[in-house]
Amino acid sequence: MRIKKGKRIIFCFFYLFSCFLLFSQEIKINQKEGILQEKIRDHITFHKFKKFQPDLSQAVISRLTKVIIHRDRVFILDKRQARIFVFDKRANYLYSIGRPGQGPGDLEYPDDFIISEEGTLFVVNSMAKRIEVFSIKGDFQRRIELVLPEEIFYSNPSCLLINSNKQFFIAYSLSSHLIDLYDYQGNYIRNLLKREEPILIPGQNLGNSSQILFFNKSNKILHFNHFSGIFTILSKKGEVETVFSAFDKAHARDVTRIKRSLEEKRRTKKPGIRISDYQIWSNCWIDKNDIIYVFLMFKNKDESQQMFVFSPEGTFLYRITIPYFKGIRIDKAFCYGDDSVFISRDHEIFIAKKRRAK
Amino acid sequence: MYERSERKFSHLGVLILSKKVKILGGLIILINISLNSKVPNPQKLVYGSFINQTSITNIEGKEISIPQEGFVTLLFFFNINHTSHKRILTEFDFLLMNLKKIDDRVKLIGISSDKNEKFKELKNIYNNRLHLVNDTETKLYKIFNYSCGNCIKIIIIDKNCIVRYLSSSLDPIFLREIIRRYINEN
Repeated sequence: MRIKKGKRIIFCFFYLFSCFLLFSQEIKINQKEGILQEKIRDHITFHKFKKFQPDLSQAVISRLTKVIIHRDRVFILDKRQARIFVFDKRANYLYSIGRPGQGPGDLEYPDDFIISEEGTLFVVNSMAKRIEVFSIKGDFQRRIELVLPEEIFYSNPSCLLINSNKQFFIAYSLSSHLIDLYDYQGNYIRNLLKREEPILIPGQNLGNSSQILFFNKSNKILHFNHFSGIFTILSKKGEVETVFSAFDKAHARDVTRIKRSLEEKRRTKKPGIRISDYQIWSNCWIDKNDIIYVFLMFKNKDESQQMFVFSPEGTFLYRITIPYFKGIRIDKAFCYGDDSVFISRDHEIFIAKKRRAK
Repeated sequence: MYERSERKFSHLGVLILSKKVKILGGLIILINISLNSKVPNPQKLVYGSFINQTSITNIEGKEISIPQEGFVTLLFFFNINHTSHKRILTEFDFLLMNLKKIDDRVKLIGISSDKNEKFKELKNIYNNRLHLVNDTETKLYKIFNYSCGNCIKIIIIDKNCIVRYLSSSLDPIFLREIIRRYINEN
């Protein structure tokens, strides 16, 4: 009898514990109204816009992939030319990092790069599944070969983060894994987040559309899907804490339509793995107070893009249009200290400051 | 909302093979062993491999050496009958357009093993800018480890006959950048 009682207690304990784990994940999908929508004074907007026009006689940028402002320098990754161009803040060309190729220190379709606190530059060589490490001055330091788990042999890394323990968080262009953790030698440690939709091999697949970011204050990880518009907040250990998104009618309609057309494409079997990558939302960005921003993109150039703002906990705060961007389609944005960097679809770079709306 | 890209990966061949190996089991292994005993295993071609010069006749009957010392050589392996390869040929046109200013310092060689009139027709399109080699004996296929499947193969060899780039996709701008780099490097 005592053993049975003990078993019951253990069972109840595990049941309660699993219930706790289940309900500790907060789900705020399709939030319709922002809680601060009417409180215009609390809205954040941008001013002091400056167009960053690099010296084209020295560096012609072909496919602007990412911009990082580090101290007094602006680093611009050009995926197509496989180079990082470095400028001062007045847009004067200083030097370039990396070159196209497959040897050590060469870049082949680099998708992302980061600069660590110590000033080391890590570039994701997507096609080669490698990370090339450079000093801030551009000297090649080392090459890290990523050892991907066998079940995702077809995946190519597309996004990179590095934590204070020198571990890499990697997201992929297409994979059943959304975020994986690797050590500094490139060895796979574990999976943090999995993809829900199955992957068809061979076949047509919707890309992972992943973007990963660190929160500044809490060091939590934010995963954003720029097709579905769904954000996922993960704890430092990699547990899912919150899943959230905002609802927009046009967006919901587009998602359904695209998914339907993809289903049709899937029926016609073609060799190889094909990735369809759609961008309905811009890249999201997090400011120093961990407020999350994202633009919803529209088909017509005349339509103004709307900026959606979320609290660090994933509560939808408000949506506003930025008048300066009328007719300009912003598809990437980043925040570095007081500077917000916006990249348009036409590869224009704008730097602006943040302020409260009046 | 924009469709960003549609890519095709080369790893599929490996996957299909592994499934077949599972199904056919030991039989395939036995066939492989018997084939390998007749054909010497070609050296693995990787970045940095040195390539000995080989002479081959192009479709005009001229003898050309691959690679040619002092020139950057781009080898483009394809199959004229393959639908997806045909599509890639249009991108090759774009590459040629991009190489206009530097094409006297780079040897562009298109290689196919098909005995096909269509391949010969390419001569009229590309004129002198592209050497076409009808590799019916698969001599170059063996040297450069090309087994014509769903994928094309691009190989760039530098002035010192060293392999500098291997790929199964063709991005004209990226290839132009690499060719430029190896033209300027000693």
